[in-house]
Amino acid sequence: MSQRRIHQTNKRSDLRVVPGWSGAQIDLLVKEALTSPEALEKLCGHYIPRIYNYVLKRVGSVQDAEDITSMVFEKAITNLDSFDDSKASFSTWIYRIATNCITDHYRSRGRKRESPLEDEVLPVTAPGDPGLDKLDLYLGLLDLLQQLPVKYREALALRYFGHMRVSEVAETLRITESAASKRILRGLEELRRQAADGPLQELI
Amino acid sequence: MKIRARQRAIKIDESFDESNEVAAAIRSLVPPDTSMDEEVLDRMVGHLLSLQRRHLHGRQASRHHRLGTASLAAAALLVIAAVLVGVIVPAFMSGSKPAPTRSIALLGSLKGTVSVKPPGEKWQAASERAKITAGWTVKTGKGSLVSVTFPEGSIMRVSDESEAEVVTMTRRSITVEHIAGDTYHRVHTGTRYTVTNSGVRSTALGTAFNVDNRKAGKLEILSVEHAVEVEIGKHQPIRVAEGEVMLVSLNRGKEAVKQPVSREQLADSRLCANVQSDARAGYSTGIYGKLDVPLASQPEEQAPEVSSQPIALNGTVGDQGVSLDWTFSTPIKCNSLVLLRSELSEPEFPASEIARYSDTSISSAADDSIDRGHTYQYRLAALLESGEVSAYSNTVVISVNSGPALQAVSITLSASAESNGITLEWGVSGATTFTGFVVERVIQNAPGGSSTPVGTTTTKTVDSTNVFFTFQDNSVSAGYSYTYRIGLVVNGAVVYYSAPKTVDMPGL
Repeated sequence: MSQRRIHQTNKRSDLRVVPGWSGAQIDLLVKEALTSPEALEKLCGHYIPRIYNYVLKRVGSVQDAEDITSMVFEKAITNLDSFDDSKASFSTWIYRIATNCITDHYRSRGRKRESPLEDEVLPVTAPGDPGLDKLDLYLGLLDLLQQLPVKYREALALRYFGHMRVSEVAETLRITESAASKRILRGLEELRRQAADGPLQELI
Repeated sequence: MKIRARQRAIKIDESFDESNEVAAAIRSLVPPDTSMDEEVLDRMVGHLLSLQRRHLHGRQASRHHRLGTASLAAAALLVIAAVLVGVIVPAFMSGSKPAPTRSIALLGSLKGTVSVKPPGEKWQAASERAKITAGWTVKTGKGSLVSVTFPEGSIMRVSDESEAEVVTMTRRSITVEHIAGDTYHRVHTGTRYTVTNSGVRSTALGTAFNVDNRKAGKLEILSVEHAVEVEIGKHQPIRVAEGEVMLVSLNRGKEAVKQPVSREQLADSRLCANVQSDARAGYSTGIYGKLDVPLASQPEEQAPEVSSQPIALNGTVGDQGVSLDWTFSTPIKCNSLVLLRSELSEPEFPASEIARYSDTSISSAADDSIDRGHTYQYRLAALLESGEVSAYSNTVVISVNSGPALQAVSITLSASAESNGITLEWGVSGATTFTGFVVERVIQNAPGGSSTPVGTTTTKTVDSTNVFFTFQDNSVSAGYSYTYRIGLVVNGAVVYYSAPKTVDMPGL
């Protein structure tokens, strides 16, 4: 942890995000992305930053987040022709792939999150912030999340790291909104129990 | 469909977890969104576009030909998987042991016996497309070779009977420990790439160079394209430009000489094979292209030792022109010597003759009809009475700088007292055309009653064109303080002095 480096957040604001796309526009882009490099580039430009941030918040390591994000889009491209927009939105589909990749990632490491090394940076705070404590707490939170049952962990991650509405969480996990909200609440309760006697207890 | 209908039926209030303390705590800890590194994003998008092309090609091929559907898809997926596994997929895919970094390099062009050794483990046989990461060592057997492709695009080619360890490997920085034999390095632009051996560090940013320590106690760094900075110990780095070679003696102390590369060195089959591989991959051949040295028809098998020339020719360039000297390693029958010079191709007799000496005991010559900004190749031919050539020397390549001969010269000097005297070490940068050094010593402090008073100055001339030199002063006495400085000699005159260094010899 001594090698941890804190990055300034949002130091570049030139994200390649194309704002204001409707669901229909995205569906069209997905269809075109099967054959058109321009469409694929637009789609990547729109979703890579989102998926990357979601993954980064889940794994706490820039390098792992980059690798996993790449893997998510590779899987998406090789399976794009099997994507069915009548069953789920592209957003739901890509987040589902990301969730599975993250699960695989942790499984391959025996559920243990590695300490970030040099060049593997979690951008929690700007330099000069009293952010090291916050970073420790956040990394502690990730460890606690890993100890939760998968169904709670994924619901909480999509809700709080993916900033999803309940309906989106439900769609991604293929459950009802009611079940999604219950999973979130039970996950929060489980997290409170896990945090007892730990550094997060005070905060929670 | 059923689920979606039910979702519409039961709407959950989005603020259902607003008052939950745990939810609030998570929200307070979750970092804000951040931008992905632009370079990584570009590379990722480029990779995905290439993946799309391959995937599309596979689908079209299967549609048109029907047969081979599985094989095409499998091939495309294999290629994709290989690229993913090798370049992007992190190390956790390769085993249960967490690696120190997530970067992975791929072995390729494997021929013969190649072994790899993970840190703390035993040697194991390597296969084509095997993955290695930082801390791994690669070794080749007799007649074998392998290339290591780093994730950022740099390539290390390990020749036969050679060994190198990938010490560190991040996205913009690679360090390799050259252990034995030859390693050739094609460095991706922007990567800080360092090869170390026995305290000698060769660093490049976007270039191609070769490192060789096949000769005991010698390390050779040859710059094929652009330049390499060679740092010996703590001395100031010395630039080895394209077409130059630095020979570092690793035995007693460290000495180094930098000189233009000879055609014989460029003809080394291992080096040629590596530059050929570069050329096939679309890279520039650097000095080979500029000197029109042929790369083709080099044997791919074990490189034979370069046969020694009966006449060894050396050349240096100074303000007055090019100075050449030669020695005969074996007696040669000849009636005259002919100096040959050309610019674009290897000099040949009689077309390239510029001077003829009937006195065959002559061992040096000077060529003052040179132009700045030109590169000349010199060769000496020994002629029989019949006019036939009985022997050629090696070819010396001399580049005459377009600017002044000496620019921003500096000498870094270190001096240390040892039990048997004072050791001086110095390195020169910014000068390649000097002919030697003057070591100047002044007695700074002397014990009372000394027969050699303070201020006594002694000088010693060192005839050497080494850019790094070690000198031992044994004529020192206990209790004295000595101040040294090194003068750089060009054509008999000192043109530059180093900063002085004072050393105290401990009293008895």
